[in-house]
Amino acid sequence: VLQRASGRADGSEDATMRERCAACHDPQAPDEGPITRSRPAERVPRATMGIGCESCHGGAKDWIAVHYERDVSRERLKELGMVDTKDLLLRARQCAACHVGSAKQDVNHDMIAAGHPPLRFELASYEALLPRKHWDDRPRRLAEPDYEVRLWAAGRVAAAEGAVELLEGRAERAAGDRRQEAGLDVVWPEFAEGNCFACHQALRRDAGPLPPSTLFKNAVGVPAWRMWNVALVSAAVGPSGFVAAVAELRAGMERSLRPDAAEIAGLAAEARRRLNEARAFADQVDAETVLARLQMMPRNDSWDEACQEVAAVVAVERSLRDRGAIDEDEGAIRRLRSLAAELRFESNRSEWPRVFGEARGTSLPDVARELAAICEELAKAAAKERPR
Amino acid sequence: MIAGRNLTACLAIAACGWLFFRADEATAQYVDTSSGCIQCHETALRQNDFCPSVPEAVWAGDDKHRRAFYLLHERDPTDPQKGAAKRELVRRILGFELREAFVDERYLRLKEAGDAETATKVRLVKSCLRCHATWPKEADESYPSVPPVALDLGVSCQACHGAGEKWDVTHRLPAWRLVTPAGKASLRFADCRSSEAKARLCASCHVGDVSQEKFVKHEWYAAGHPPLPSFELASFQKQMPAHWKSLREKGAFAFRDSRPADDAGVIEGQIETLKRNGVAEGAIKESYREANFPGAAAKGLDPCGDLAGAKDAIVAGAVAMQVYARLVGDYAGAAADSKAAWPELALYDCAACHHELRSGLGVSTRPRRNHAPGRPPLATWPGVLAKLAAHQAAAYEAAQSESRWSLVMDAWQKLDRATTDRPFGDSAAMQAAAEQLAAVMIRLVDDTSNTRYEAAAARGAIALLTDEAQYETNDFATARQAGWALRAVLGDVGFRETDGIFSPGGDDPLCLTLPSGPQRSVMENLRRWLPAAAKYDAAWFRAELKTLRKGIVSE
Repeated sequence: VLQRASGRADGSEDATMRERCAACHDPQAPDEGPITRSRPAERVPRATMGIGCESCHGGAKDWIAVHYERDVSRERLKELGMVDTKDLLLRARQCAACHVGSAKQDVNHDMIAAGHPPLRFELASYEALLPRKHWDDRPRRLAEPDYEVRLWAAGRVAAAEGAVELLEGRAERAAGDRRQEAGLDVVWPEFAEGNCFACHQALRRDAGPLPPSTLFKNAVGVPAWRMWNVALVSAAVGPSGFVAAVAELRAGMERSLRPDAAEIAGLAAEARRRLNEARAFADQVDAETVLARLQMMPRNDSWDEACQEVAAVVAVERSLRDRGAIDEDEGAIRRLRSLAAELRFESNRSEWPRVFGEARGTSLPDVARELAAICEELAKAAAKERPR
Repeated sequence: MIAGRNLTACLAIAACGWLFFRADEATAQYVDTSSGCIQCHETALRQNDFCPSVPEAVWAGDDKHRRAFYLLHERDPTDPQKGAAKRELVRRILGFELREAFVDERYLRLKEAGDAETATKVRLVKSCLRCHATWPKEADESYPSVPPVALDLGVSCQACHGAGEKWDVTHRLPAWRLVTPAGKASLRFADCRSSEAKARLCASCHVGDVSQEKFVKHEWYAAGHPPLPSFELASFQKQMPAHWKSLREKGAFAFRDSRPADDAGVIEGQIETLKRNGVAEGAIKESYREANFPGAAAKGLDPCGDLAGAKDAIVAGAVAMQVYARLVGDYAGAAADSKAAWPELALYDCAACHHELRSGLGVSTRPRRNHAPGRPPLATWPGVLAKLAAHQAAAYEAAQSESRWSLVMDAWQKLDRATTDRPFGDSAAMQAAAEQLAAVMIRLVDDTSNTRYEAAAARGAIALLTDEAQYETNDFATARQAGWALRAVLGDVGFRETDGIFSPGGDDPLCLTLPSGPQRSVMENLRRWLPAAAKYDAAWFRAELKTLRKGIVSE
């Protein structure tokens, strides 16, 4: 990928591109590396550490000696520079910086075309899939039954923040008409902002199960803006100015094949500000509230949004289960699993959702209907909540 | 020797003094296709040594061009649903019903462009009819609202051969064979004989030509217009099927090498008629060879004996790249002048975006590029036959062939860089680079047209086309071009069962068989070739090339 993305005729690697990869694949600078008497920082070579402790927890120089003390407080560790990963939004941001991006961490379409996997991040699912986590969230789940839904909400907010910041950075660099800035190539329009399946579908006689209206936004063939990272933010934070701001941003991105970079930078900055005002509401959200918001939201036929909605309902179901409102054998999780199976990619390394397959009996509207039915069932269960 | 019945006809024609054409007329008039063309060309009675087939019967019976207008509109009493589906597709593509641009229900006259909306509708419908009927842009002055030829006839005789008024009578004279292509063109008769001329004519629709308003926008593709496949002349005309014979097939026709004896003064009479009808004296030569291939003999060439499939495939391969470069350049130039929307996705390689995604090693199955990945490039397919043309121009001599190809490659890479330096490219830089490439290709077309097409050329072509290292085999459309050309060249040299090549077990993974004949629908064929493109297996194609190479060497 590095060689291809370097784009050099002789196949050599570009140092700037290497640094760009290192921002996520080897983020610890030597002077911030884990320090031991036998392994001083300056001897820790770059490109060997991968994602280490300090990548997430912050440079350890000032807290390495105290963080294991029995009565040291979270506040004290924060003062010493340790990232408070118990704060779900902070944790989510640590992940999203790489798994979504930021102004300076940019997996663009050039890199994806060179073979980098496209980024599709959802915090609660990713945490659930992490094998042998080095932390134990069971005590917190017991004390805080809405933990799962709050984790999900933090993930939504952090993903939206990252996506909007990334777009703002891309557009700002393009508006400045600079070829390269901060080690990043200026590429505009940036195809990674579009819905992958708008363009990347084999030509076919009939559209079949693909819903063109969610992929293309006008006759010329402008790809729809990718909704993966900004979907369902309003279900996480409630009514806010972000929804309107992001709708304007989306309209700007879908107006033409080459959106006005300066305009987009402004719209993205506004969306980021609006999200900043609203994000605190995600901290205290509970399962019923999220469920009610999901039920009130208009259904959308895009695959991105359908996937995010499944993840949201999975989080709600888990919280209701943690609370004892429902049992595992009540069927919702089984139905959600079969929906997820429909949305999953085909086998053989194909990045093509099964639900788009010509022979599939399930369509995206079917998924939306089934999700609505599951939400209704969960809402009924929550209403007659059992004693904890 | 001229057959007796033709002599009688010629004398009658020569006596027609009223057939003088008016030299001051701005645009030629079209003759009535039914009475002016079909009446003669529909029966075997009019066959002669130069015209040994029955063109009208082939065109009307088997050629899809005859039905080109029916793709836009057809009232089929036996299948009303089919007609409704076509009308709906056209409505989706244009944004309005085809009928809305016409005064009448029978599509006899377009509306006057009274208001802006009507003017737009008429303009759009006309641009469809440039390729789906016989209404070239150059005819607009004389035929602003009424089509020169009934639309129902589709792409008919005069769409390719030119407006017939000035040559309708003269082309019936056997002495017409003595007139140079330029002399014929002075009467608006288009040269459909040379590979280059045929290729340009066909490519104007099958590749596109902005200046002739023959261009399918991405907007139309997205609404359902079938994608234009890559274009290989020899195979397209064979499967059309062709209503003519190649010079090699015709054999020794009268006038080929010299004027026949003219004791009765019949030929002199014909020549006088030609002159009276506007053919310049200097444009009338002593033989068909001299008229069409001046200087060929001095160079040791025998164009009448050329291997027709090889020549058409190779010359048209170079023409296709030149026409494509011109299309890109013309459109990019219009966009740079703010006269056209930019970017226009139809200019780029469809397959660059339209492929299903594959994780992991999928990247290695994509065509290799020399630019930043992830930027839509121009089409890859014209490359293979343009390279073949460069080698043909250099008589397949290794060093000279590479040197000739490097001229094309340099210009092509310059255009590629202008296209991919930023997503969608810089329109002004693309225009300049495309013009340079077109200029290089014009020279190559000219040189390639004037080379020998005999066994050695066929061997050289086969050697190149069966060598996977010579071109981009990861690209379906390129493999298809190579497959078509190989079949054409192998057919020329008597290779048995060319239809079996690239056809494992009777399958057709490259979709080399085109939907010819009235019963096979272009739209239905999409169900074959679009999945074939999606499932294309480059490793299989390379293995087939190896097998073929080995087999041909042993044969």
